[in-house]
Amino acid sequence: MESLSSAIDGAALGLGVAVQGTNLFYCVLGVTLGTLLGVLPGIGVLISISLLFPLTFYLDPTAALVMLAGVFYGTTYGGSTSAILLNVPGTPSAAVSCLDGYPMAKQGRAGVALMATTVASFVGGTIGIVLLMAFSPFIVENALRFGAHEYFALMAMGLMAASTITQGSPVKGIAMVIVGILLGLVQADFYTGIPRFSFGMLELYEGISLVALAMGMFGVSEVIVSVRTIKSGDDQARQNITLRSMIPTRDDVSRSWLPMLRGSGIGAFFGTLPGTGGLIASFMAYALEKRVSRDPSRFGGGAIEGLVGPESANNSADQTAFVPTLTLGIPGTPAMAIMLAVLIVHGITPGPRLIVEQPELFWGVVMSFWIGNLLLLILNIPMIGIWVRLLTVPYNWLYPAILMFVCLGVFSINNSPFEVWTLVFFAGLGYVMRVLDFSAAPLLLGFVLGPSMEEHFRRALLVADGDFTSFFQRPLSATILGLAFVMLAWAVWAQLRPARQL
Amino acid sequence: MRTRDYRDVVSGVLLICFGAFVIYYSARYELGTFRRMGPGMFPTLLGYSLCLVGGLILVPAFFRSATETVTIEYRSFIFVIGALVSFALTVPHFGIAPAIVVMTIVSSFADGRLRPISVLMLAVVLATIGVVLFHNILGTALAPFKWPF
Repeated sequence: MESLSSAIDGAALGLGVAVQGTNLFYCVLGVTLGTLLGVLPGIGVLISISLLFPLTFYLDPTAALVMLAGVFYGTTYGGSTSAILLNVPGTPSAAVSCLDGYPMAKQGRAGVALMATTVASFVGGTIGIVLLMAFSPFIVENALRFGAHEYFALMAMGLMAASTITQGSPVKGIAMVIVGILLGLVQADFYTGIPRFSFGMLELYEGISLVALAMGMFGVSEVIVSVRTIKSGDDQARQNITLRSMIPTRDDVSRSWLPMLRGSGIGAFFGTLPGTGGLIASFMAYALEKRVSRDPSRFGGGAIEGLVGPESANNSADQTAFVPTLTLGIPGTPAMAIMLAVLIVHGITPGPRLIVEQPELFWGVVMSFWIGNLLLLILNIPMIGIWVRLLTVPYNWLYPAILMFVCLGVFSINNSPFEVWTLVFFAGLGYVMRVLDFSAAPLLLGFVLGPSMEEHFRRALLVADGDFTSFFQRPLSATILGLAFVMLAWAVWAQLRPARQL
Repeated sequence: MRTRDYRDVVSGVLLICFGAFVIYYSARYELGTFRRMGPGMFPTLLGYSLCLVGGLILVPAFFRSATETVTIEYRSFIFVIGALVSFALTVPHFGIAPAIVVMTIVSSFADGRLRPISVLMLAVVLATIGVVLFHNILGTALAPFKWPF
């Protein structure tokens, strides 16, 4: 119960921080930009966050995190709009919303569908925040006892999970994690100060720029693929969305509330796991709703349950994804990795000490989620018409604008073309990886976690006098590493299994 | 087994080459002992793991036929990357406004459906937005125009 009372104290402290003028302003800015960028197809959460990342250098860390987090969960709200109206998910985690959202729009019920996703997102987000607030102090209390062994084990497990659970071949995921860690090591060695893998380039002494890497791998390579594939069909976007058309029927309401609660629960669970996040949570929620439904044949033809379940799941997952990131300093998804990088840029070491040493930051950010979710409710119901109008902008006008923001964002980091060349390199690499069927998410996670993973590895062996078995003599690190080995063994088995593999 | 899974063959070979390169390059850093690791130890270990994983991808690919055909979007790849390259080349000499114009024009060839007059309009609009946002509103030190002569 001690952790519960500290959660209440923290909430009060955080609310005071979150309603301060600057933080409130950046919260509004973040969720508005997030909705805007989420609505537009082809601009996912990663591009949105990396675009704004250079801006955060000028802000204090709380405001920076409040804004980026707002962008993060704002895109999830916005992502369902284009899924419903165009059958194109605005963000990957809205993919499931196409299945029943688009049929609803075709039946002339686009207004109800948009209303239902917004309310479902709000319910999911709210439940996610409550769980985040309740569990974080508890985790932190235990995590304060962790040593270098436990941290190394947690990171190894997190990276292993992120690379094996996500889509595609698990072994390829592991390969990407290793490449990512190696890219992360491009900087001065922290024990000796020797610059590593700099190839004589002074600019690389401080490491590869995260923004250039993320924008190249996710942003530019996404544009390359989307130029030919995204057709600007604005058929359902021409529907006139009035407030009156958004009012759900009594039947809609009675069908929706249980799926929302179930979806939030699923989302909260998957959000905390490394490597899963909103996408998998929303698929799980859809599958569950279809299974418990009395009439599964309605799914795919505009069943409101199939829309609200996944939508509450991905928003709930968005909030609980902050649990491992803020309490342990171990991000589960690339977006969380960038949040973590914001802290590192500002000289704050993420980990369990964060909540103890910087309670204003931690609780301020968490309480800003309440404000942000409330704002999103306002932004998405009365102002939906504006977002719908945006969808009529064709992609061939849009992608040069995306590239312009990417170039300027990257160039502004140091006012030097070096970062732009880094961007070119990673854009090319990102596209080659796509063609060869490698996913970029594990690489980015490895890149962000790599340096601290090496640090903990070296420190653990220094403490244990070079004894590798020490990782297995401590019960906690042994358990966690055991889990990681199970995943590794599964990945190798899946690779060598002779049967038809993708 | 008519066609091998060349996508994974290529992937495996590339990973092994990269791993080997990392091992070779790390040799210039001190390895140290497990008790006191030098800067070369961790990368060397990773290099070996990468070779191993590359082998795991390469070897089964020889005994399996490809299931999907790979499509490569040469046109959009060349012009999108080309757009970034043109930006990187022009921006240090001419400033951001001309660089955005050049970049927009090059990138429009990736799609090729906009008429030249529309492309020019878009280029001017984007350059204006870029300068106003980054120079006037955000106040970054980026120069809108520069003259190299």
